[in-house]
Amino acid sequence: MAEIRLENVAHSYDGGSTFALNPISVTWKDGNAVALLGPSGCGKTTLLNIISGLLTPSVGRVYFDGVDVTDLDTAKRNVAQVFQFPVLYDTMTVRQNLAFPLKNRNVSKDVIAERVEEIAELLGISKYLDIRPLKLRSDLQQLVSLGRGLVRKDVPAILFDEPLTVIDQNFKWTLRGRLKEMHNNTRHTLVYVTHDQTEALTFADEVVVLNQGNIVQTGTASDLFLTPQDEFVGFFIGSPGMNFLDGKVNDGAVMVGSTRIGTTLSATTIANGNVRVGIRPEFLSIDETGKGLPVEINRVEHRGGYKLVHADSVQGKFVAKLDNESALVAGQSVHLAFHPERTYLFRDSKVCGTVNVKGAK
Amino acid sequence: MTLVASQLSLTHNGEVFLEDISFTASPGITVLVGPTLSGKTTLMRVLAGLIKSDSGSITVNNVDVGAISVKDRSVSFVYQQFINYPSLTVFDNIASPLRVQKPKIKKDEIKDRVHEVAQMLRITELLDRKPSALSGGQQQRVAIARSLARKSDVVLLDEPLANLDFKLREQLRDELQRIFADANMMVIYSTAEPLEALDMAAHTIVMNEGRVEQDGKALDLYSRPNNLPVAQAMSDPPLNLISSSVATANSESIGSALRDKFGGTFTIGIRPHNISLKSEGARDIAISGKVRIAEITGSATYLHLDLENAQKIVLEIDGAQNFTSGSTMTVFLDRSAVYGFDPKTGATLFAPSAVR
Repeated sequence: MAEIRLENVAHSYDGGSTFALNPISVTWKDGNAVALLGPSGCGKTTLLNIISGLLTPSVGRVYFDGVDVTDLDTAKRNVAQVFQFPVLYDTMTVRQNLAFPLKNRNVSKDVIAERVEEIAELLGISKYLDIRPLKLRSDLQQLVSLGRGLVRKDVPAILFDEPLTVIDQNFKWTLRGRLKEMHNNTRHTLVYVTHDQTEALTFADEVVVLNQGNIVQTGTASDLFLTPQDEFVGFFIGSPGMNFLDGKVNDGAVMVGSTRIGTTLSATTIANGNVRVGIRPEFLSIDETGKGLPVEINRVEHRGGYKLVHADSVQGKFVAKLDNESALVAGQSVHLAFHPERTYLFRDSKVCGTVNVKGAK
Repeated sequence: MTLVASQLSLTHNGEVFLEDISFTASPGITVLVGPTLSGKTTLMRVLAGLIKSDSGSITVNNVDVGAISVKDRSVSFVYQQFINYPSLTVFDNIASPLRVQKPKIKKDEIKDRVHEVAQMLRITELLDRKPSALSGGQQQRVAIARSLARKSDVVLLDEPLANLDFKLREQLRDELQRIFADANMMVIYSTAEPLEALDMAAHTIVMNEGRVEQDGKALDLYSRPNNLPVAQAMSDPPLNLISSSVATANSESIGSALRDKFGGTFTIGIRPHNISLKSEGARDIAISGKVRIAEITGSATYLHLDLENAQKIVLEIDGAQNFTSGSTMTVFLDRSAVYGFDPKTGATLFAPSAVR
């Protein structure tokens, strides 16, 4: 297992006129699970391919445990890879497919047999070991593919490119848990590319959010959810994402329309003027005192365990995540309260302050 | 305007694909929910006329469409894997089915219709581009626009959002709902995700192993499923299943704790958000388990617990909380949210009285 370090790595597919990945320098600790999360076209797969050696970066160096591997090809880097769709040999049985990466490394027969059984058990494919993969459903084939990526213990890193895309919705929950458990036990260095926030957040020790070729924020699931540093992170993490409203800072008072929603926590550092006020749907509640922001409810979605309440205010649309007990209907006018410490102010899409809601009046 | 499917069955090489499927769709959205291989795609292909069923009939506005060839049916199909003509512009992609329609549609009207649907799907500024210059989400919008431009009586959407990014899915789902709400057509929309059915709050049909298991309003299917497959199809995260013989913390079985509901051994179903770390009412059922892992998303924590006899449950807890793997703890099932299923037939024995 290895620490992965990128030094000023950037990539252009067109000889330098546009960059799919802008210069980044990061270090990922040995044994960590890292998720690269972002929308399509954000540069996450480019970054993964640079680490695996499928792509040589236009600029910068890649180090595994301090050793420069930038000019080594994938085989020499010795990493294991799992792709979005199954990659298997159909002339071999599932067992032989799983054993193949080990056999190639001259691992002893007994060790191979034991390891193959262990991985098959983890992935729930033990009963398919002696059949050929093409006889299996595509999601089972993908499990075999996953198994091949996980079977070796001596790799510096295992790289996953959207590995659960073809896996059934229900089974994804089980599999994700098993992968995480496996990682807790083996502490492989894992790099995992996905556009699915639930996968990234639940699986990784560290989530790297990418947008338009830049890393916008890196952190744990809680960091990204509770303290987004950038509007994009507010929007992209969470389902639904953060609400943003046009507001104003006026001598420390935070105004949305004519409602004063609170005071800035660091009044001296936030200059007067326009701001974007960001609050997650989870941190809005109904203000029974009538002091909160007046809104009109336009739609209530019943999602089973909770309700999503869509509302309009003078300064924009809102979504609030409320529990089933709240009896609200479309057309109703209510006041919304903002959670103290969880209301953020943004300028030029970066966070510039937090609102102290206790100062509301 | 209605579509009536009546007793559709299809067997191929001894394998049953569709078994006695009957339902009625009215203008607006009808959602087909079910796991992979439940027969959703096969049913759609039969509705489109791409495959013939062995028996049964389909009528649209009281006309049996069985004898009408595919190209003469008023049906549009949008696939999971969006399909556009790569050499045509977005405008021509959307216009193409209109140009071959009979009776002939005037050029000006074609232009108007393309612009109308492009505006609905917010792709007006893309009309001159080729599909290769579009993102996946934009390409799927084009495919949907093409199906709408035809103004078919029936529009079939087979997991149209499955290949899109998570965030795009969220956005497009909201928009489709808005678009189809006003459209005077029968939209059949298939998905593996119960949240999509709940979001659309539409007429919902749960399929499983080629059968219609239940038909009704999404929220009713969620709260009052006829049987276990329906409860499972309508739960995400997955429904926890435990045998009623599992011991409670004060060493009764869950079954005896629920004796007033049902005697004997049965299968307990409870959704992850209905199990809590602390007792919220005296009638909660306490059970003990060992922590396997905790998955934190920031807004919630999914705690996986091992119970006795290799049974497993998952709890959904608000916010981020850490747990030590291997430690033992007691958790509480909200008794008013417990389902009971017959362990042999899967039939619902009892269900919560309110939505939980």
